[in-house]
Amino acid sequence: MKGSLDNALKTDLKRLIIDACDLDAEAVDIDDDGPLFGRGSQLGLDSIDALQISIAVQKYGVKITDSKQMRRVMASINTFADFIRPE
Amino acid sequence: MFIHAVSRFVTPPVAHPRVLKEILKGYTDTPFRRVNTFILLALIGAHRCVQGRTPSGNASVYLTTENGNLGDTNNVLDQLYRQRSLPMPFSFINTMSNTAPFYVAQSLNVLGRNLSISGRGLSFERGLELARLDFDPGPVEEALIGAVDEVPPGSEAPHPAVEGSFWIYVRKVRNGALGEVADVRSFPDREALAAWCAERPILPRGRGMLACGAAVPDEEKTDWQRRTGLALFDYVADYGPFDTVTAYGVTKFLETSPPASLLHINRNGQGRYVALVLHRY
Repeated sequence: MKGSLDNALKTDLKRLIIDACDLDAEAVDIDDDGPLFGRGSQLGLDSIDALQISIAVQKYGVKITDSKQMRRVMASINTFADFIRPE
Repeated sequence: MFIHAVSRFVTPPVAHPRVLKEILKGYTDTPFRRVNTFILLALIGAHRCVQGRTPSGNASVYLTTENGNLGDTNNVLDQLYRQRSLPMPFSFINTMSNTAPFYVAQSLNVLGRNLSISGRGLSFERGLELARLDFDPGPVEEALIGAVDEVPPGSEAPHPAVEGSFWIYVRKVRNGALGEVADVRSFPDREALAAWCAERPILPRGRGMLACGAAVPDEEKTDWQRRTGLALFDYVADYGPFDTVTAYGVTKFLETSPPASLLHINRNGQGRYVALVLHRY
């Protein structure tokens, strides 16, 4: 099952972002499709948050190797989940 | 250097920085992110100290500490050498020595000198000494001087049972002050301090008190009491020795004492001494 179809995985990823980035938010506050970074994003995350998440996500056995990949993977919770579990 | 406000914050080590974040919300509406226990302790103490006041834009911040950001330094070293992984970026950034006073200055919107000071067992005294130097002839007219330390991670008794953040807000102007840092003197050894004490009465008997830092042994305390003839203000017994206990004692005196003067004597492991003279109006 693709990650974006797995609600439990997506909730885990939201919690990982909240914990890793020290956010005052709940998992239910984060939209599955909303942008995570940049202006107008739901959480207002920046490049240092991206670095923090890229290290924290290693517990899933994946590595984000460059900033282009980071931007693509972290576009939303759905893309992030699909990166963790592509199929 | 006149003292206009004082704060004391002392707590057993908290399980998670979130606990401190909630306490900090009682003093400021500014949201803080990416901060650790050490930074939160600094912010709580500083905001508590200036509550209801607005420090001028050119106020300075002197943060004194024995050990700095121990928790995150421990985390980073653990990630690098035990887990053999990259350190978490927030932890790495927060190990920079001046991060905590930066957060204090940013949140209070002050742009003066911004320093972290550590001085081998005499950190708070060194901070006061440096601030006085900057005040006396210099450009600094207003400052926050704090002492912050966290309990070393994983430490057990007999290590300190509490951590804390103790601040004074000092200005060049006397008007409205609650007290004064009248003197800060360093001595190379016990004999030099004894000679200074013998020169003249440092404080008037009756209104003067003597306090000794945690590193001064009991028999030596008795000797200083005999030499100075001052009543003892013993604060170390409250929580036992901990890294910022001198600042705890000084701020306790300023907060709780009736009008009086305090001679505070402390020493470090190398046998160097510092004497502080404070007045509480």
